[in-house]
Formats: sequence, structure tokens, C-alpha cells
Amino acid sequence: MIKEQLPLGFKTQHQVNFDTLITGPNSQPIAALRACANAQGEQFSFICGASGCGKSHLLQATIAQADENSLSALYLPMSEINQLDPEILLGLEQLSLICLDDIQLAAGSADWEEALFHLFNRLRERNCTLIVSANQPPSRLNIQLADLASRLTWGPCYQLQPLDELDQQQALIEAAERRGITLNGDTARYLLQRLPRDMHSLMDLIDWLDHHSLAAQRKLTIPFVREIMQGWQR
Amino acid sequence: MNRWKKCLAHLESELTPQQFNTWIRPLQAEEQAEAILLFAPNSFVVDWVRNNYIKTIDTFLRSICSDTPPKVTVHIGSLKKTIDSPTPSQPKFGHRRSNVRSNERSMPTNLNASFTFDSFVEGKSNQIAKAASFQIANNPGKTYNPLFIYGGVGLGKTHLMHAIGNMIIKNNPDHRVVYIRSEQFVAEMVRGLQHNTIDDFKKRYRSVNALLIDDIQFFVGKERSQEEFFHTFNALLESDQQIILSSDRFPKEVKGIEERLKSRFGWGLTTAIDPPDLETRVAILQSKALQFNNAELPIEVAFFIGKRIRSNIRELEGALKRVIANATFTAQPISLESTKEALRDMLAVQDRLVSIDNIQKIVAEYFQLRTSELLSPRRSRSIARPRQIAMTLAKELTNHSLPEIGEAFGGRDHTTVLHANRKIAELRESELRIREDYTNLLRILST
Repeated sequence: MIKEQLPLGFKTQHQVNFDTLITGPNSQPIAALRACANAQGEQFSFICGASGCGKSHLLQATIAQADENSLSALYLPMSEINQLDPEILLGLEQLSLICLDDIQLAAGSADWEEALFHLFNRLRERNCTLIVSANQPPSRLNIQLADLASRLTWGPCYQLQPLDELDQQQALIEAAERRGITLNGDTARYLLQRLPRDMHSLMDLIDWLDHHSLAAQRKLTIPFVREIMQGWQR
Repeated sequence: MNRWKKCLAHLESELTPQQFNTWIRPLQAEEQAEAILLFAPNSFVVDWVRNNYIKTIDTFLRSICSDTPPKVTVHIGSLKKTIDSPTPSQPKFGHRRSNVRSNERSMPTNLNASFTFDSFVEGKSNQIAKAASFQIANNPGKTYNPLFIYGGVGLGKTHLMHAIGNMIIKNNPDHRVVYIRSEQFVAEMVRGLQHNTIDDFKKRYRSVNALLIDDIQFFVGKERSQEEFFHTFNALLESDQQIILSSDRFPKEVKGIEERLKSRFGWGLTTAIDPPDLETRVAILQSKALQFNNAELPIEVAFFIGKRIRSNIRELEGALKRVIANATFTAQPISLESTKEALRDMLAVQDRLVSIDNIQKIVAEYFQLRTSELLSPRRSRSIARPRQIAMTLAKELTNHSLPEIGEAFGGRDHTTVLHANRKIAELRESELRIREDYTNLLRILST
């Protein structure tokens, strides 16, 4: 039986920046967005890729880098659309860089589509940088407003590829390290062979392992991980 | 480290990266001796920060200040200027300010100096619109008034409007020319009403020499703005000042606009811009390559991109920028191979879209028919026309032979496909509805 220690109740937020991003096969989109954060990129870029391939991480790393360069920047996840109002887009042209994540979630909403169209025009007139992400390329999105749909094709579109197994292993090890726990290659491989391999699931898993390893005061060995994995649900 | 920076570090460790990057990072702070002023881009963000984060900020500041902590307040605006509500855009690229007399400084021309007639690539699809625009630019208020330019998205309507405005100012440096999007016109009018400055607004817009309003379809449902625009329109027309309007459709087809306005839109000249043909697309790509990359684009690359991207010029630009980015990143010259590599994902999506099966499915959905009806022997016009359109699209968008296309449409002869092509080409010239349907379907299938 595992002797549990109650972990302290404070949460540690993990840094999201270019240093914590595993490049893998995505060196080109990463370089393109890094250039945007340094005010040297395209005015508009589109990033697409399946859920969990690192789009949100990349966009937020871009925001953090822009902030370091004293560029005012905002990250807007469309996953929060139910709590938000299109009014949130007003005046954003006063900032230097805007990242809109998961724009497919705004597709089909007439109010949001029109507000995004007007935002696009204002940003373009002010030379503000806009980066948009979605789970599909612009042509596959179900955008009803043709004026917005065509504007989403205006810049280079980069497809983010999922990391291969070695890179995912590395990502797991580094994520564990940032949380102050050691995950060896064998245990990482063991996990990857048994679990969904999108980055959202893997990062949730690391948080969960961190919690249980601290509670049980055990290292993340394969036997320990095997023992506790039965209780893990995403 | 100042107090706000300490507060930021604390919030970054407390909040999720998403919360921090959305609500806290964009705030701009001004530290004063006894206060910290935070500026947010709009009232929504101001309210959100006040409701969700101000307590945490206050508590933290109390914990780090030995004496009275600063009072934190959140306002709309930026450090550059504090405002009550968002201002209309003041384009950076309106380099024509010097042409605007000082007493009109509050009314920028909003013109993009790079949109000229010289940088507009002419082709069969836009030559009439360009010729009319050129004539008007050289004789504003005297030839066609108003000029109404309509056409699908991303075909160059805005470019032509700016080109007219730029040329009017070049020929008449003392002329007051204003380019504005309909949404900006509405926003300015609303502000005029709110701040009791509506008379200034009216005076401003009724005293210009040329008023260029883009995308007038966004006036839809805004009755008060339409009313004001109607009077502005009459005042300008009566004094022979030039009006130029654009929309995505023919004036009479714009729903939600008052009839009296629609009829006035047609008083002058109405001209269309159609999607560019292959040769024009290639010429546009070559011109843009010089502009973006200062280098010639190999002709086979221009044809490769031009053949695959048909719907609008924005998408051509996006593809070209991706190809240039790839070449810059890999430090290799642009070649057909590198182009295919750079556009691989985009083209794979398109290939999935433009099979005969998919054309039949999308055309049937568009005309609210069943696919089986398109393939049936029935010859009533409500089915035959969509079938002919689908056959024409199959010929244009796929590499299938005419017999193969005929076969896929219920075992028809290749001469039926040929006839359908001729018929649709003819109807696209003579019937607006068919032209619009065809353009819409082409856009759905090839973007």
C-alpha cells in the first residue's frame, strides 16, 4: 500500500515560451512566429494542425517573446467564446501583436465572423501583426462570411506536424524536469506506448504523475507508474 | 523592479498561461506615486479585469508595500493616448497627410499610397472596371457618378478605389478625398450621436470632393446610418462631387438596404470585377513576387500556383508568401519542387475537394437537390441547369476527359458535356444569377 503524503495546495504555473517548445519537424513555423514576435515577420500568418500538436503553446510562446521585446500582445483563445462577447475585439488594433487560437470555433457565428472581419481590416490598416490558428487550413473551415474566409488565406499557412516518438519522449522528460521530477527514458517510453499521444493528454499526465509521485514520495519508475496508471483518466 | 512588474511576476505564477496571456499581459501600466493606472483595449477587457483580477492585484500590492499601497484603476486606452471609446482606425499607410490641409487634419484620407493604377494587374476580368476607374480618377464628379464596383471577395475592388483616390489627389492636390469602410462610417456616426457632434460629422462628409465607401453591404440593417448616408449622398451628388462605392454584389441584390439608396447606387456606372483568368493570375503572381521578394518568379512556378488557386487574389498572395518563406528558410532558390513541397498540405486539401463526386455533392447541396437527381435522366430546367454547371465545373477543375465526365453524370455522352460547357459560358455572360452561382461554387470548391 502506498503511504500518501498530502501535497501542498499551491499550484505552480509552467512557463510557456520558445525554450519550452520542442522543435521537432516544425522548425519553419516556429522560426516564422519567432520572427513575428521580434517584429520581423509577416503581418498575417495562419497555423493549422490537429488538436494537441502544440498550436496553443506556439502562439503563447510568441506572445511571451513579443512581451519581452516590449511589444504589446494579446492571446485570445476562441475556446472561451461562450464566455466572451465580440466586443472584446474592439480596440485591439492599439496592440502590436494578436494571436487568435482555434478560430474554427467562431465559424458559423455571424456576430463573431463579422467582428473578426472588421478586426482583420483594422489590424491591416494599422500594420499590426495577426496570427490565427485552427485545426484545419483556412479553406476547410466552415466560415460563412466570404470576406473573412478570403482574408484568412492572405498570409502564409503553416501546418504544424505532430512530434515523432523520440521528440515526444524528450518533451515528456523536459516537462517533468520543469516540475522538479525525474522521468527516465524507459518510463517515458512505457507511457508513450500506452497512452494517447497528443500533447494535451501528455502534459495533463505529467501534472497527474507529479501530484502522485509527491503524494507517495516515490520516483517515477515503471513499476510505480504501472501501479498508479490505472487511476488515470484524462 | 517596479511594483507593477512584481505584480506581473506574481500573477504569472498564479494564473494559467492562457489567463495571463489573454487578460493580464496586454494591460499597459502607468505607475504614479500613489496609483497604478492600467490601460486595456476595450470596455469588455476593463470589466473582466475589474471583476476577476483586481482583488488579487490589490491583495498582492498590500503584501509588498510597507506603507499605503497604490490605488489600482483600469481604463480603456493605451499608454499612447487615453480615450473613452475605441477610435476609428488611423491607417499608418495613409502617407498622403501632407496633401490634406491643416484644418482638415481630423479627417485623414485613409488612402494606401501603394495601391495605384500602375500596381493593378489588368486582365479580361477587370479591364472595364479599371478603364472606368481611370476615367473617373481623371475627371472626378464629371463622368460617371456614382461609380459602383462590385465583385466577389479578394478580386481587387479596394485596390481600384484607392487607386482612384490616389490619382485624384495627385492631379488635384487641394482636393479632399476620403476612403472609408462602411463599418467605420457607421461607428463614426454613432460616436457623433453619442458625443453630440453629429453636425460636425455631417459637415465633414458633405464637404469632401470624393467619398469612397468600401463594402457597403455592411450597411445592412443599420437604418440610421443609411438615412445619414442617403443625405450625404444627395448633397455630394448635387454639388458634383465624386462618390465611389463597392460591394460584393450588384446594387439591387444587396438585401437590407433601403430601396431609395439602391436606386441611387445605379444612377451612375455599375461595373463588375470577375475572378481573374489563368494568364492574369500568373501576371499577378509575377508582379507580387517582385513586390514581396524583389525577385522574378520562375514562370513554371507561377503557372503551377495559378492553375491551382483560382478563386481570389488574396489566396494567391498567401500561397506565394508561403513559397517565399520556404525558400528564405531553406536558403534555396524558388523552384517547382520547393513550391510543391511548401504548398503540399494546402494542395492536398484542394485535391480532396475537387473530385467529380465532390463537385456533384456540393452543386446538389447548393441548389438544394439530391445528387441522384443530378445524375438522373430528368431534363427539367431546375435540374438541367445545375447539372450543366456541375459538368462545366468538372471540366474546369479536374483533369478528367469529357467522356469520363459524361460517364460520371449518369452515363451521358461527351457531346452533352461539351454542350453544357458552351451553354454555361453563354449564360454567365447574359444572366447575373448564373454568373453568381458559378462564381460562388468555384469559390467553395477551390478555396
